[in-house]
Amino acid sequence: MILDAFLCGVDGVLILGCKDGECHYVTGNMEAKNKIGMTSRLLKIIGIDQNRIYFGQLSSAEGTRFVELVENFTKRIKEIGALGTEIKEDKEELKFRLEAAKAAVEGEKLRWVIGKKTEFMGIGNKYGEMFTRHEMDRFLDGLIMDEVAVREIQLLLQERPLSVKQISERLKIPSNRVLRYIAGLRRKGVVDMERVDGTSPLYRQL
Amino acid sequence: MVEEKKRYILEFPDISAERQSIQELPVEERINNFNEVSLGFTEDAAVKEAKRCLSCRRCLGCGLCLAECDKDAIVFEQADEKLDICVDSMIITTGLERVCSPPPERFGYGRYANVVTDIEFERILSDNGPYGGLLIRPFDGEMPRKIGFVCWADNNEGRGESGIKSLSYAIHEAMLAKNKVDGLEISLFLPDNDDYTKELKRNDGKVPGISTKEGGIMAIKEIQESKNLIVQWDENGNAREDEFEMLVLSTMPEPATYIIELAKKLDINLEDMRGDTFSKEIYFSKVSKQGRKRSEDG
Amino acid sequence: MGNKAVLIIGGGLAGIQSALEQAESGNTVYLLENSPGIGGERLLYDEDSKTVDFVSPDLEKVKKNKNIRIITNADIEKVEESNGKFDIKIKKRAIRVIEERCDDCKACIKVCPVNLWDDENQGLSFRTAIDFFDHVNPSYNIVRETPVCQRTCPVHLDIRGYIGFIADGKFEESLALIKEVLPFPSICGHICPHPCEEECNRGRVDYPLSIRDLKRFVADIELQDALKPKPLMIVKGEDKGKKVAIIGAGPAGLACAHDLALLGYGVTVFEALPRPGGMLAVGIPDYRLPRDVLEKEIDAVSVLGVEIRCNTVIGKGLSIDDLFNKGYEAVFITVGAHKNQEMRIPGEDARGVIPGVTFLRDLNLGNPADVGERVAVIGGGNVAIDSARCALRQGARDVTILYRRSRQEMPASDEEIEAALEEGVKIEYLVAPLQVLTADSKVTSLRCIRMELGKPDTSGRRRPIPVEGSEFDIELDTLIPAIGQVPDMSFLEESSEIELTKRGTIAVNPDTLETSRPGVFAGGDCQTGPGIAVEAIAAGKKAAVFIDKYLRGK
Repeated sequence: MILDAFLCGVDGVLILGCKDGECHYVTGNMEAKNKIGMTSRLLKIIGIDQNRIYFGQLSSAEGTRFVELVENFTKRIKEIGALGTEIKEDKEELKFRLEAAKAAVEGEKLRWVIGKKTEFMGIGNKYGEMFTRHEMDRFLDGLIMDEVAVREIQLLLQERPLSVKQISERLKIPSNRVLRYIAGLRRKGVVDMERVDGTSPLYRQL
Repeated sequence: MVEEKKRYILEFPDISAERQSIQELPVEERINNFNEVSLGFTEDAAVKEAKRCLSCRRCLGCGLCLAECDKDAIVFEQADEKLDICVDSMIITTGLERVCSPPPERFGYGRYANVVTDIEFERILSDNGPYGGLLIRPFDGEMPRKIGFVCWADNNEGRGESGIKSLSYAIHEAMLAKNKVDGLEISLFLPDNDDYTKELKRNDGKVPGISTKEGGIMAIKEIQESKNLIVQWDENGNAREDEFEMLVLSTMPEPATYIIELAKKLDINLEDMRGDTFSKEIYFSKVSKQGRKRSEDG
Repeated sequence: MGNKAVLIIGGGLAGIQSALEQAESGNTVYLLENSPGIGGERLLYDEDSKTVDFVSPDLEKVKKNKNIRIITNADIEKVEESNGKFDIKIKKRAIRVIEERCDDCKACIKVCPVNLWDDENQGLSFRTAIDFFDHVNPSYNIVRETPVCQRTCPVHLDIRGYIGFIADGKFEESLALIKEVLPFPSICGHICPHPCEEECNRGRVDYPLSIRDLKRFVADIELQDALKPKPLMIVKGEDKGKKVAIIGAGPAGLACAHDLALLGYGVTVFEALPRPGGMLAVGIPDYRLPRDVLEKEIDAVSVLGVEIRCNTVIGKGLSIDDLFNKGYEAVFITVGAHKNQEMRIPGEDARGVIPGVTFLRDLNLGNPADVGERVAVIGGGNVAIDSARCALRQGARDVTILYRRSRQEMPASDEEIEAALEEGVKIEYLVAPLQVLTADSKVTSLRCIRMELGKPDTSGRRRPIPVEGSEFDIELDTLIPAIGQVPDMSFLEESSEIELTKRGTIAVNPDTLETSRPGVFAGGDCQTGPGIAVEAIAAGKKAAVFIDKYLRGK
């Protein structure tokens, strides 16, 4: 949703929710907080200023606070500038990255893990292990980075077959890392080798 | 590998890359008293240092695989199982794959992206391996046309034998690679050592199309751009050099640590037992004297 | 032959062939493999299919053979030989996937969010936390290893957990997590040689985490807060009405006392020296472990009701038999290794020759020896370094450590060596002592010889060999030999029925730490030879578990 807004060209997204413990849906605001936190991490990874998203919490009685929040946020977005100013490449590149980020967010891995965050830090995982915030963040950072890269690769391969070298040059991800992702995708039956061009195997999305 | 991991870390600006240092008593204030030298971390430094922890990954216990599994085949709470058995004899035929001394640094292993060990190369060759049987380089997934195999002699006592074994293994892999890719150029570098030359002669019939260089390697350098490797070697006193797309280093196979311990415990000499390391498996015979006798009977 | 049971270790090509041979001759075969799948890794080239791999037809035969039991993902824990047979204990690691139900649909690996280092493929690719290794012969499994740091730590501290809490700023939670297993976080935080840091994965990227100093940070917060004491959470077990005697108030003894007291036993610790703490008190100098840190953590043990009797020597007057007669139902011997190993060179007993452990003990107990101006220390361990740094602090102007191998082989920890050098200690490598030269039976100088390194010995270190004709003399006022410590077992009477090993340490059942005499347990340096404090603590904790088991069984 948030990423759809950015894809439509908005410069910032302000989300307002209830204060902790005051949610009509009990934990709805906590879950929103987790998801928005993840989305802003994602923005950072694809090179967009993460301050373009803000999650404010207030109760319905705080009129002045509402005005203050909105004013501050608008001011902040004005300072950052129009969407895409932080990326040197053209509009197409911005769209491409946002599409990949959107695919990552909508993928089951991120959705599932982020949905478990509160549980992991409160009552523990399947093994009964509790996670510290640091541990959870460290894991999410890695997962988001992997997911974005994999989605970018998949988007590229949907268009035409490419070699590891070509993907690496296009995405500016080191080629040995691209190779690992490709090998993993091949193993999972998502990607396969199409043909060999000279000394380069070309891969395509299945 | 290191480079790659570095990038992985630097992705997260909230991790301080630098190790935080503790405060210490200056040297001049230490002499003539017994005050504690180390003063420990400040709160700020401690938190920064703690944030460097990678929280090493392993199964997250998130249950997504179980949610996806139609067959309900995943049991998170399964515990380790203990088994007690009683046997008359044992046969040890364990593999060597994970217990190999790292090759000396001068060959660039770990620093140069396209220098691999023979064990890694074996995985690359395997249809079951990481690249599904494609013979490609770990740096960029390109198919090499020119590969160098490097055997080296270890001066450590007792390793000479396994060093020579590693030569036959290199030849074996070179042949597999040649069979896989038509027109692949392969060079085999040997240390300047008579034993190796002899072993090579013994293998003579088996190495068609592989050019051997017996003078010993002087230097290996990586080309910045292509990550190809320049190998310098000695040929009858003259320095020669050539460029390769990938190098395969021999490793000295060693039996697994727990096998060494087991052997010690049962008082058997591993050297006697060391058999055909070529297949990456040590064929020990029966390990008890009684057992061994049985094996001869059988 | 036939009707025998055979264990084959290794499920590779050779193992499979042997298994079939053995099964055909009528034997019962156990085929044990370390990895999750059998088949091995040998590559063969198949002319027909042009594939390079090993798919042996024997594999199917092995799987179908009723006389062969395949045990994968398993390690041998223990082998014992008795009556010409082997009793073998095997640990089969949980794979967490029921093979019979799995139909290899790959759904799980598609969604698994965890990318791990792929061991099976030498790290060339990623594997997901749930994955199969072999596509011909899929064997799904979940990797859930304990982190390396935790695995390396002798008491298996949840390092990832407590460091995560520090990163979150939750220091109290962090310390509570440490204290669940480790009774002396501050002591370990100051002096642990941190084997965990050697293994830390971050070290492969840049530098390992300073795990030890982080522990010290949270532990010290509590010590400094002592002025405004917080209610201490102690959950003490019900009083068991049984008494345990512990001989030696070192780290092993105190850790054992701590755990037993929590379990509800009455514990008395007998200590020969005037101060409790063992080597922590009399071996480690104050500049590494300040006295108040040590005392506060020992006090925390006393608070649990443990009685520590100092200046009480077991042996003459109060034997182990006496302890049992006095109503103690179990004894834990943990007397440490406080006897200096002799150099076996002429002149060793001259005045001015003070063994390292003696020198440090006298200093720590408040009667420091006068070392004069020129001091030589012999040895390369932490006792040698400690002695040298203490001699410097005692006013010696010229302190030299002589070590017979090179820096690389030196067992002392790097940071200690660095600190000693910083403070002005000189280290001469590849030098061995030959003879102590004396005047009026007081040391005047030391005759030494230069060494060179030869082939590796049994310890894996290269053996030093004397260089002929390279003898030289060093003038000195004090010589401190510190080439190793051994346990002093002279307090054990012959009637004690406690067996020793060839090395002079106490022989125990390694599983339970019980000695040859029922009800008597032993651990720490007196059982293992000189080790590090956290290993002793681990031994003490282990002893507490088995003493409890023993007393409950009585």
